[in-house]
Amino acid sequence: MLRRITTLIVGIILTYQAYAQTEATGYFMNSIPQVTIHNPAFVPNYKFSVGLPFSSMMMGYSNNGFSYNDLITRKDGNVSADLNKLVKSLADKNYITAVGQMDLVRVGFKINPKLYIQVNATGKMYSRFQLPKEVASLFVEGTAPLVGTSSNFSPEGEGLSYLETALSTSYQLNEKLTIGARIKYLKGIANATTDHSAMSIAVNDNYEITASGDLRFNTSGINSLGESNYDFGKEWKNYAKNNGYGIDLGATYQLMDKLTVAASIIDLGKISWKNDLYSYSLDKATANYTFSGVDIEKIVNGDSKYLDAELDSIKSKFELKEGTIGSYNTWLPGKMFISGNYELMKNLNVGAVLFTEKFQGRFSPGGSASLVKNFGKWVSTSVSYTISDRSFNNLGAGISFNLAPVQLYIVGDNMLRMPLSLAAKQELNSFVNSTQFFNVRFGINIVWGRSKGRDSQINSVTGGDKAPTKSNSSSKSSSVTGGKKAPEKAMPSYIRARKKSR
Amino acid sequence: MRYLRFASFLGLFILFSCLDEKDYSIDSLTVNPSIAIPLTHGDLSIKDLIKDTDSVYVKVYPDDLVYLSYSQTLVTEDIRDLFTIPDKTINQSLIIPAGTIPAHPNDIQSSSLVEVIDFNITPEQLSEVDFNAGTITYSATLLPATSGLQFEVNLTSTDLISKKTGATFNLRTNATGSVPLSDYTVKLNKNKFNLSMVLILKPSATAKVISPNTSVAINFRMAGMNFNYIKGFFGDQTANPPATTLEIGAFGSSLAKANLSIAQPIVNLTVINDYGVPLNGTFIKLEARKSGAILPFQINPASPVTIASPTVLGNSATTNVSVTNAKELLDFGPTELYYQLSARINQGVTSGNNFLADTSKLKVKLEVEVPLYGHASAIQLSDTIKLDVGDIDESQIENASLKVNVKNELPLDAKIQFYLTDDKFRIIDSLLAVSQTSLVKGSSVTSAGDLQTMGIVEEEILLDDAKINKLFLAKNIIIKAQMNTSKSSTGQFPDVKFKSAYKMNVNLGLKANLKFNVKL
Repeated sequence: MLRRITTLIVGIILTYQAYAQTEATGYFMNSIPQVTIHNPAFVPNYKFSVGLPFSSMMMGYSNNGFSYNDLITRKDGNVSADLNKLVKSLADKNYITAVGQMDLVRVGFKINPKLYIQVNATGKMYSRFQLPKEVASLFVEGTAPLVGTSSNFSPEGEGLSYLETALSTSYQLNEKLTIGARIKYLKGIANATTDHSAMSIAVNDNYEITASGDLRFNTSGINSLGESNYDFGKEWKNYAKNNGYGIDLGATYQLMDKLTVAASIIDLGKISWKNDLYSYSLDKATANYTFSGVDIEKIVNGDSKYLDAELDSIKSKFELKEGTIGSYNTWLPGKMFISGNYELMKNLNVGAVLFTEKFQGRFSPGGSASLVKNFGKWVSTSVSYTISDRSFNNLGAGISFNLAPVQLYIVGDNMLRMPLSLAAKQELNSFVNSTQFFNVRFGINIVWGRSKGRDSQINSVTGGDKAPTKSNSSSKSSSVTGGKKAPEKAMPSYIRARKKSR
Repeated sequence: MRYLRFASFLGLFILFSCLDEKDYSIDSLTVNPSIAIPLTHGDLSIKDLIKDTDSVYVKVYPDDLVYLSYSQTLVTEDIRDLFTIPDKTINQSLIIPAGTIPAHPNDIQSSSLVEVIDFNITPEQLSEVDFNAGTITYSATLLPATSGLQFEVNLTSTDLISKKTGATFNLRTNATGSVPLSDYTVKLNKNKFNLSMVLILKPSATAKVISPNTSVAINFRMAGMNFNYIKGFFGDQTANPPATTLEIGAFGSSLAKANLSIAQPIVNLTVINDYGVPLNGTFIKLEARKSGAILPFQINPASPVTIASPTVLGNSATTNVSVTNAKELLDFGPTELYYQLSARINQGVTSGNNFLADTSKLKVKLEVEVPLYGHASAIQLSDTIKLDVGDIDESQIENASLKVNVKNELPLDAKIQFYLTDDKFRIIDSLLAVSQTSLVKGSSVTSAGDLQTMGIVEEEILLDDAKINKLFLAKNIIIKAQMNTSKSSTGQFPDVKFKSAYKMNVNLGLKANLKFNVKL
């Protein structure tokens, strides 16, 4: 079974290549309330938590095309930007993604051992630009490689910012299965989305270059910002017109005593954009031009204005046409997680998660393996290895200082390479120069009521504490997976050891 | 929250302080594109290749054969300018005898004094002048002035006739005045006409005592005269208009060293004469010229040519002079046709009824039609372009090739070379090897000289690296083309036709591997 799962995981990764912009290391850090972001069935370690405004911030960057090292070459102490080298390293479609999230408020509490509720208001930003390799090749490698052929490409850009207000619930259905859901009410702020994009460059045998374009992107809440007399103070109410709804669904299931699996779908929803709507487009009927060289007839006949007229014509053909449009919808960048968590020993769990993001027709999968270690109740740590964005050198780390009622935390994919780089070379250059994927989440939470015992390690993948049983020890020793409580004799060694310590 | 912000900033500070910024100080940018770009395209017809100047018009015969039509007209008024009417002044006194003039209720008139006004021009013997400018000014003055004596002078001429009323000249005055001559025509007898003067004493109720030497002084002046026409006998005179040149500039100097054969050229010489006078024209110069060489025209009739004259004022007479060596003249490849005419009137004649108008002209029109039908070799075209690529590092072009795709319906071969020169136009090198210069291949033709199959050149010419690099040393580039009309399969030059529909489709492209290393 495990072999099959492993084969499936590797197969997915190799098939799709990995370039998601998804947090992986924090996925297993159930010490922080924000762990529920990845699966609403997850239950943090604390019975009650509050995140104050701006108390949790997340920033992420991913680039499946290149790192800084792919651009530069060093020789005799000189640094040279080598564009040909850069192009060789590019993917066919190079997605450069930046994301940001900021909690305005987050409150979570356990109603009872089976039921956990969390509400949050979070500002989110997502932007993604797709640069086709053909475009870069054209400018760097020139037109000669295209002779006798054509190059079709579709540059795309997406930008999305909105305010999410959500209510999340996790409920333990039985000892093995916990389910969760989060419903979201969204207020869109601004959007730019590529409706369609089809560009083409062809070079024929006489080296004539034909360019054509068919492009349209829609925007909301952007055009009027550029107006000189725009007063946001008067216009902000218009931004409230962009309503949207979303839902997250999740579940955890205890397969074995120490092995729990989980799955979730996040950000299944869309926003209807109604404010300040404009489109910018190239009409394929007019946006095409063939440059055949200088028209010898016009030059011979002394038509000195010919070239200027040609330039004006090209400019006119490829000038983006601005126009107002009706309302439109955009889906959220949806994500899906499938994970497994195995309890190696007391306070030490190993987990693996496969994730994928789907946005505007693009699947971007990735995978991560993590090791989570709690050092008593004060410090929780996590290290991870993540494959994402055609990047295989991502060592993540996370740590939370649980100084209840105050909790400080920082967690991020690819973070561990920072101190490693610093330790090895006393500088961060090797880290920065090779980074294609990076994210960090950090902040402060107010927390009370830490779950004790085994719960505190792996609740994140189990859906919370096990419901009370007739056994007096259940609230301390159950845990884990919502699964059937093992007979006392069959208890894992670390549980038994803990009992001994009492 | 403050701590969180502080921690964020602290984290960023630590991050940036741990970066060695040397890594991010980029010294240069290297990029090695391989470009393939079209340089030029389009269709050229023979019309595009001909230099259009004021004196040449590219025309097309009904069978689509292109021909060049040159035309130049020498317009001369030198004959009319032989004739001017000089100013003429008459001063005369009408004497009043001394004594007493009794009271008289009516005018007392003196006898008529006739003055002959002679314009004194020679050798003309004019019989009529129709004025369009000029003024008669006159005055009548009593000397000495005698108080109370009233007089007038009556000036008349039956030869001077008003064009408006048909009346003869008749003027009474005792003072000064003027009369415009533009209203008058004067009839002359060999340049002369009569003017009568009569003194009139006005009625007086008292007797008048006239002292001795009393008279009336008359001044009569004709000045500033010009004419609409003149008639009479104009005498034996010669006018020498300036020389005139007809530029044959359509091909510039490209035919200077060419071997040219035009199949059916036409050269016409026509004299159009407005003067009603026997006229002989002598072509002092009539020749085709090119640099360092002259070829005279051969004409029929031979010079001097008797030029026909109109019989009625206002008409023209045309005299055609045929050029008997037209083909030889055009095959000569002239850059200009030069001619000068001397015009002699009334040669050996002592009388006659000649006429001319103020607007009369003698026009000598030279017309040349050059059908582009024939053959030529060693036609040379040349142009110079300044080159300024000094800012570009020569290492930036690793290799290059020229893609040539010329489909030619014109029966014209061309070898083109690009000479690189220094700032003193000394040749450094040529861009193409000799074997690479045949960039345009002429079409093949039928026995009638019409298009048979187009000439096609489709090849990629590799440019020598060493020659390319000399581009960066050159200050000028001289483009030279040596052309000839298409050869037959036997290597001969048959007569070929250049028709307006024939096109030369040109597509030139450049492929080059570039290496840019830009210091930042």
